[in-house]
Amino acid sequence: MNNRRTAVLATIVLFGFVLVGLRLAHLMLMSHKELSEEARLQHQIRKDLGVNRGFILDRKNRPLAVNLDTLSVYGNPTEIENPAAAASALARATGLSYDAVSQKVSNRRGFVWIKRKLETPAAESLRALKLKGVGFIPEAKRFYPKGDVAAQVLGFVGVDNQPLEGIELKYDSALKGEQKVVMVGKDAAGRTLSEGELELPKGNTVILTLDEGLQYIAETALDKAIQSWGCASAIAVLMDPFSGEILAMANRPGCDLNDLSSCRTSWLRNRAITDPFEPGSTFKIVTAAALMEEGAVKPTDIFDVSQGYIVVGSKRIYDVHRSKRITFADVLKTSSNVGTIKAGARIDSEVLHAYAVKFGFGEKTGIDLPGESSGALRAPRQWSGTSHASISIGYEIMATPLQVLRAYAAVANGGWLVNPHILKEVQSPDGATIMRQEAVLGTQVLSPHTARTLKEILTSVTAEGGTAASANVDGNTVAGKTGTTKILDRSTKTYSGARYISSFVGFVPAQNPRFVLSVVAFEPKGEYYGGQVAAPIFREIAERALAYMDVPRDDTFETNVLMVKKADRP
Amino acid sequence: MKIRRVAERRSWMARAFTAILVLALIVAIFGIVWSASGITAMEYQIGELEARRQSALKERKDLDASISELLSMRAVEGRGLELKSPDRQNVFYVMHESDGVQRASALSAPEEGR
Repeated sequence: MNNRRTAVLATIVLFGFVLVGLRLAHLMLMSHKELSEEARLQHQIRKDLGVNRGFILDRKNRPLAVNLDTLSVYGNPTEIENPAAAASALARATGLSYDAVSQKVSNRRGFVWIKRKLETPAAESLRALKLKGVGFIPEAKRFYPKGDVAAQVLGFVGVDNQPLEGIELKYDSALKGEQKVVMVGKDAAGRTLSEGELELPKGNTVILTLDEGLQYIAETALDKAIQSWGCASAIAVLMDPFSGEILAMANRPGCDLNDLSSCRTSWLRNRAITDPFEPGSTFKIVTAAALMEEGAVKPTDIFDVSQGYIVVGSKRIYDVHRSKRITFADVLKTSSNVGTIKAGARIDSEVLHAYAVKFGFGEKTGIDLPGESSGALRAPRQWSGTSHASISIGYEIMATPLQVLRAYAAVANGGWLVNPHILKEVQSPDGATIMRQEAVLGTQVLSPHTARTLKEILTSVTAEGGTAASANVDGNTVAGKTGTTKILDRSTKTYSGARYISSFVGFVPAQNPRFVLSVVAFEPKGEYYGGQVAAPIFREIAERALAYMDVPRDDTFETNVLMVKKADRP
Repeated sequence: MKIRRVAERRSWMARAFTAILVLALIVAIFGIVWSASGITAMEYQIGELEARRQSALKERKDLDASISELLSMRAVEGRGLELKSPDRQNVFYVMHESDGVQRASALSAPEEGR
């Protein structure tokens, strides 16, 4: 009997062990993967290392856009025990209104953002409160250390670091760091264990051709001009006439990229490339280039402009400065509309159009920035009876400040149309060069002889008797041209008698240009001629830029050179 | 008698060997547990150090950003330090007759010395 009972008991125990064994085998062999994952999740936490966009630097490696580590605060309203107290604490720490926070924490959803990218001290003080149902997620925040410097060029990113404008948008693929998430071990108390070196992912560094110093000089001068002349806005672009490198691209009014809420949308537009305007007299160099290249006019040819106006169709076009019989060089020097129209009549519309196209008008310059406008240049068959005359003095054609600047660069560099660009180099996070923007040889649009002649004529514009004596800088000769354009009222399709665009485009030192600079002032109050408004702005920028770039005065090598003989050397 | 003595000695040695084995096993188990807890403690320490490192890196980032903010030309001018661009009339170029290489040198020359 006993033996039987023992056998039964032993069988039951054995069966139990077999069952346990089978279950273990099932857990270990069949469900191994799922259970391992579950266990891993229980003793590990996800750590989001965030997206670290690459830096944007100027040509001297000064940071223009960097990242800061911030904490974003979220709430889980279902876990918040005392919503009123939590809302009060959160409102105090985040600076949000109590009502706004209260509305968020009263929401019965499982997850709600309280405040994205909170500054560190506020976030740390909030974390110390250990509010139940309130959590923190680290997020990288884009920071622009120079504030409003080059704001319209750099662009900006959204709250999720998505690119929205400017360089941020254009070079997003290079700047974008990969979102990296790692799993780190934790114990029951939530303390994290080391998982070895956690390499923070980072995007590539983008180095621009911009110079922070020159950009600041240009922007400061424009700010002063807006204050002095009450301009609606103003633009200045500096470019190396030989390489096409953009040294500064200033748009005012400015906008602090770290406080976008205080900016108007129009202030964020890079108007140097997005907003075409009628260039007016600054376009006359294209007409002059066409005339001289085609042999239709020589600088010494005489034009009678004594009447002071010329009738074109039903319109009378006037000269600002009355003259009598003047040479073609003086036509440009005094910016005579009558003389330019009379000279321009010596070439066909097709030829004038062809030269405008040659100089890059009517098509994008190809600068590596988003939103560039191609301007507007109609084909000759679409021209009216007055178009030829109008276009020869810079009306009925739309161009961006950059397009006009590019045309002047061709005169400055001896006849080559350069390709404006703003990217200098892309570097990997470890500093290796991934891509370098090489200067691309442009197309020759002028013979060296014509370029030289035009340069001499443009130099006379800033001399006594020219329209832009106020553009003269101390120590160097300036070559350039003024422009004054009436603004077309789109509703009435007539030119306003009260709203003008004042411009000056030039290069300095005239004989060996270090930069070509375009200044455009929109709707100045009081004075409005290019020589009165834009030329002095040009002078201010040019004088400071020349000193900043350590460009010698023209007379330096006659007066300020100390010769040292070999024997005198230590 | 001799056989018995040999057998006793063998038995004693076996017992001693077993005791050593058991002791070694206990020491090994203890060592493993001790090492494991040491490793875990070290992981905590490293975890804490890493957190401090992250915090220091974050602080460095903030400081770098502050430095570039403070070194911006607007900030420098705004501080009223009256910094001015060099007067180009006071920049002299030193030229060596032999190599013709120019070296710029700014001197704060008096007005009449220009």
